[in-house]
Amino acid sequence: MIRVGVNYEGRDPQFAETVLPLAEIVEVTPDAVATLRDGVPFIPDEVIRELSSIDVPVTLHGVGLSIASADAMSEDYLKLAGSLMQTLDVAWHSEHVGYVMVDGEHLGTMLVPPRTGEALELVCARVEEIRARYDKPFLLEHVVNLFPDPGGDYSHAGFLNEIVHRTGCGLILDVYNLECDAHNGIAGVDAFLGELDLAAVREIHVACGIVDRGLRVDVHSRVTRDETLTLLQRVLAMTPNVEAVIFEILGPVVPFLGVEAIAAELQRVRAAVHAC
Amino acid sequence: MLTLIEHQRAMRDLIRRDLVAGDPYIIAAAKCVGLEVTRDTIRNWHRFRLDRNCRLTSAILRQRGLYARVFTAVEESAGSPYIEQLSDDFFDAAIALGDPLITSVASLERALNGSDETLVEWPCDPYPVLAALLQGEEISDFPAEPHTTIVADGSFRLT
Repeated sequence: MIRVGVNYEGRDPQFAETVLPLAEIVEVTPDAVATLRDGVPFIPDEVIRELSSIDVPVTLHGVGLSIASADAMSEDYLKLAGSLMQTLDVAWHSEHVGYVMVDGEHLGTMLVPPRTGEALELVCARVEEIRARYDKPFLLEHVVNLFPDPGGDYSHAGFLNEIVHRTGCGLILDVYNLECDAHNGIAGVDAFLGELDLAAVREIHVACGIVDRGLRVDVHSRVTRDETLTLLQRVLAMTPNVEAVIFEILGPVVPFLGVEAIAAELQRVRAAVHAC
Repeated sequence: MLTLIEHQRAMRDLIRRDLVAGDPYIIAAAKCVGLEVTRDTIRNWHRFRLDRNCRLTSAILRQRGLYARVFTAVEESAGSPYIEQLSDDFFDAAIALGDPLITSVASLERALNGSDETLVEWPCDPYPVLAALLQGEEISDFPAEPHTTIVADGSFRLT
């Protein structure tokens, strides 16, 4: 069974009442539910209590781990994820193959590393470290790139395949990210799907952003386009081990889009999944 | 070819400091439209979150034509992905302007966002000021009449 769900950032009674009952799985981003106390991020007890009350599987999907930072991963992120692992029955957790920090300085965005042997060794070692730290399945997601392709020793899919081959981790395939990279001339959808180890894909993301100065940007601010759901259906037919499809929306955008629209979108995505 | 750490430092310096390293990839990245889109996305995201979390301070700064100055100061120092830190930097930059009424509004809003009981001094009656800001109306010249508010548990009252 493929579960269809949504991400949730907590402390939103309307969202909890209107959208969550329709979700078969809920994605929680540790960084998004955390707050600062004396400059240190932590997850408030009331948020943990609320998330604990969700009665469908919960996954963790980070944005702040910075697994591809040459200097270090974020210890703050690992502590946040750890605190949720201790209190929630987390089905699996995941991150992006990217970096958001350099020498501890936050960039305000996520960038892709060059696909070199050096980056591969680094990411694989960290995947092993994370898997040793948490006894949960770990997945990695490819990242949209708005800059020229940094290239490297591996193709886009080949780099992910090698991580899977060396570490045994799974993959998240974000079909909107694929659309962005195709639109922006970074990677073709057919070539990427033709090369990727599709058996490693356990989760699929759908979302929508904007086109800015000709570039398709991954900002998770809108409901999905019909083309994205068509691509989702095409990908589902090729990925035998997918367990979840998540519609991703930025928490701060929820009041503008409206919980009813998000609930309707969740049902639309579910219909697309079940039509496969 | 740059090492991974050299590449990442060069990308950071390009995005945050407009420094272009002498590497063909970084030079190409400096010329691409994605650089400006990325910078604007970061700026717009910060502005969006600050406008929601620091509504009163954003409103008075805009009325006084000082929003861009304060926002630029925050952008130059922004070193945390957390809105609490970004807001603190925003309040600090607003207070650093030295305008007594902006200082009062920023101090009140910071205290409302926080958990500590805090006294905030005002150069005038705060109620018409706050009402105007919340309703998106211009702040009039209110009579100089010092007031003090006490902020606790997300609300405030005059002392």
